[in-house]
Amino acid sequence: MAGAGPFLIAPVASGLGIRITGTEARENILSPDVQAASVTAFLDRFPDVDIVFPVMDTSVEARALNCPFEFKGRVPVISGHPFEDPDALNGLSAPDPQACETMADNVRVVARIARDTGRPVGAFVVGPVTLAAHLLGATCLVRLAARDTSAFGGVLGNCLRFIRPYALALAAAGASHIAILEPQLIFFSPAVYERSVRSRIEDLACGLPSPILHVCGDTRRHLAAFALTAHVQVLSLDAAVDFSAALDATPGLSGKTLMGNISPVEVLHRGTPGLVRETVESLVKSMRGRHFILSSGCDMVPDTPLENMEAFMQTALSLR
Amino acid sequence: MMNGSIAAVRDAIDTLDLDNVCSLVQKCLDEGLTPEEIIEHGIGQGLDIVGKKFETGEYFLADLIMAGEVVKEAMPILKRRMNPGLASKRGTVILATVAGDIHEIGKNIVGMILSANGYEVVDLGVDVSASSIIDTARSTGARLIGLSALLSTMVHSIREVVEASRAAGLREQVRIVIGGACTSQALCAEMGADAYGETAIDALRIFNGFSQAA
Repeated sequence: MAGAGPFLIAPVASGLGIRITGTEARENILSPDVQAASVTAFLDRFPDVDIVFPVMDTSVEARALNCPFEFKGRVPVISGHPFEDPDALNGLSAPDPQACETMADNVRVVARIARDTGRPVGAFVVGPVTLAAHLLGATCLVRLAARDTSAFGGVLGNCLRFIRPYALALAAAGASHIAILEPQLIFFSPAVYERSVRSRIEDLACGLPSPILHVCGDTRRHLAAFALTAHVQVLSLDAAVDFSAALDATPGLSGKTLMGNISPVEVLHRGTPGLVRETVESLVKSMRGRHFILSSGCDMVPDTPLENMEAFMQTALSLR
Repeated sequence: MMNGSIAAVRDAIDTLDLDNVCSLVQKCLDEGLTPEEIIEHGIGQGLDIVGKKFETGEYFLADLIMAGEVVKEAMPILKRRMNPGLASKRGTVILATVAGDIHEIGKNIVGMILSANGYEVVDLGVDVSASSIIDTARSTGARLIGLSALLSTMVHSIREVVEASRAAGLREQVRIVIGGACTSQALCAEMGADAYGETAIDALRIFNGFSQAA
């Protein structure tokens, strides 16, 4: 395609390895060996991805801090928020990522994938807002943000303290990219982001390898604030954001690499190979040669049809 | 012209003023206004403004949650003085996150908005089976059902509710409204539901439409 420039291909799709290996999601989450085998199986089937990700699990840090959880569907979901008092977080020690089994397992997965595949490996941590919502509950966090900015900042500072050692351990294990997952950030206005969140994201991203900030949903009004976030190199955004329009409307964004944003549900899961091809072509064309990372807008579901993933990869490779 | 005290309640909802809403509601009651008037003209209109601000992008989800919290703060005072008939004036809505899915924030926001607008809400929680939802519709006589689904892998649970209502002989009587991250107008048609709401405010509008048509 005329005008199509270099772009990396990095779908957040290792969950498909679960399907390829015929294993259960639960075994993959709980066993580094099983998960590493699933990721390897995914890579065997789709060898041309540029960055491979482990199975996404946004509960790791909260589980490490003893939040109750249940396996629902394919991933553990935090089922209770044990900290009613934000000040209770002050007395908590940060989990040691080597000693805490939940974190250590994920560090081992990243090390195994990096060693066995020789590929760039992206690893996941949650961001401070998302961890805070897990620990306190979203409503409590919202009330705090609205009524006590200082306490809200203190909570985020504590969450940063809990997450950062884990992020560093993942980097030391061989992660080439660290994706900071902030699905709960979309609750808050850009003003709250600027006032209380941005500095924590910057502190978390500082010194990490190729930090990615991932925020789900319609983030168009947040983009200018995201663009100002130091240390974050990549912004991973959902399908609600038109990349080309966003780059045109937000000059500061040109300093970041955009990542995304094929809809994992409407296009990749529920669409046809034809729709996948059309959507990938349209995105690549709209970028007019500007560098970006072609990916799914968020995590792909394991029962995404493999022929849709094949259409994604074939179309991407044909355009590069 | 709107009573000044009721306008103050409306403004407290609009400005998410958790600290003052109770005293403002109490002032209205002390002035002899009925809970029904306060809900309709104060809280209801305040929520309308919040909803519009959310739709136009001035407010964010956190603000919607806060508006629900402000209303929650005020409701006990009103309920103590309320005519028991008011809650059923607009009807009863059964809310549930479908089987296999435990995401509840969106559902809870919808519940708060509906409650504040005069609906009786029966919130069955998360991961609710189709049979439980239909059994509740039968036992309560509720004719409005709101289903939330975030996980695309669980959308089949919506169809199960539709089919269970049919099997129970209630399909013609109940209206099933869906919402949540993985839902859409197309999914609504595919699953045989009656309406899709993208936001909590959409949901209110849809339930109001069904309620008035009943």
